[in-house]
Amino acid sequence: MYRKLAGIAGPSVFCCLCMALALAESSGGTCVKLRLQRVLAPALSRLDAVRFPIPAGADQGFPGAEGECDGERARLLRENSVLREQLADMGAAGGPRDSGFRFESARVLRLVGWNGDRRLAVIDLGTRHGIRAGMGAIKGDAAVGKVLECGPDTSLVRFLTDSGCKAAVTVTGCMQHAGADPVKFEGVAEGRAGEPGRIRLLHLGVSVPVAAGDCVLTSGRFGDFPAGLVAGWVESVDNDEYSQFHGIVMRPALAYEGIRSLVVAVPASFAGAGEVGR
Amino acid sequence: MTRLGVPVFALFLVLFQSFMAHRLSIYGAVPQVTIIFAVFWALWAPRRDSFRFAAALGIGLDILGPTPLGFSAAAYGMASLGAWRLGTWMNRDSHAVRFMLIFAASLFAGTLNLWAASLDGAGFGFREWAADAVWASAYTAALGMVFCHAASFMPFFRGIRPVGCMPSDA
Repeated sequence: MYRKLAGIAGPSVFCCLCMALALAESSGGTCVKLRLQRVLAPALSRLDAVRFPIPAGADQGFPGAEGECDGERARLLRENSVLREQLADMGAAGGPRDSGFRFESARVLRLVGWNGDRRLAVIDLGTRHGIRAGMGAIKGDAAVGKVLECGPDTSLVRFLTDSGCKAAVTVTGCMQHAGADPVKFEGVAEGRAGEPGRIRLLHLGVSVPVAAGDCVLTSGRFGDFPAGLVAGWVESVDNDEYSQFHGIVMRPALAYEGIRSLVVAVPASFAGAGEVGR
Repeated sequence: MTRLGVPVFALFLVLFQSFMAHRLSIYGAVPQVTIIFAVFWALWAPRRDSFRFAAALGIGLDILGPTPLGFSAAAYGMASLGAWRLGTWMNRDSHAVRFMLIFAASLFAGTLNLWAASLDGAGFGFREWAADAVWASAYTAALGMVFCHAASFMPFFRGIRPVGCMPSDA
């Protein structure tokens, strides 16, 4: 009996330690994994490209690096291309709006995914750069996700299509259907499990005139995104006879697989402690 | 099998699961090839070897995937221990037993993964669990029957147990 118990004592202790580490990791206490990602990212980026092939048209501004160039020149061209993207993102995010945010440009080190549903990005900004969980991630003029966890030098960004990621939004185009004064209707965009690559638009009553093709913008109500960023486009509206809310499915503003850089919106009033609303 | 063979095979499995397995998906269910071989090892290798193999697979998946570090390692370790214990009580040569063990281990690991995701605020109900974990586990178990049967005839896998213990020797 004792011999049998002694035999499984080691594995049991290992499993308990692993669970304890996992719970500490998920509560943001240790950040061991985020530190590892920083080290492993250069080696894994090519494998990530196999997992998440960059869609056609998403890699513009990187002329023929794979075909015509090799080695150092290709690397420099790629780096130059990413830097240009970052500059453009900064311009798009911080240009026309006086939004009460400052913007930090980040490079996407890795895209990670699981079972086709979850999409997370590891970026090269962390708590040392003033990044905290819950801050909004922006690409161009589109809201793409929110910061989930922060390490000292790296952070994990969860895309809007990921289950549990929420953003306050308004629906535009309603006035065309209502035929009345422009009215903005507020709702919440949230990724859902089992619907990969799509976003649910919640809390819009059946009386709100909304149709496929309508543009959905961020409202800025949660304090995570500036108002007026494109969150996505209404793809379908499915009304249940017994529900008082629309069943709306959105597609995101852009394909996340092609993202190599993004901008994190840091509230200007943020003093560097605590979290923005997750 | 050489001493280097098992770690290299484990690395190959982890890389395959992380970057290629989604190509085998059917209706959104991605098979857990790693759990198939973790159970295979638990059935045919000594407990210590199979536990180390499963834990190594779990740690690799934790590092490369989105789960918090330690979740998959714990899940795979516990699944391996359970499969090893049940394997000693049941007829390991039975296809039904193998199917059941792979299904149970995959369901356990899949459920823990969903729980890990829910700690990040993701909302999973029974429907999502059934669609994601149960369906994927059934697919994994079905695929596992083919893999285990094929593997039992491959010379590479004979090293995990002395010849005479593999089903192909019966």
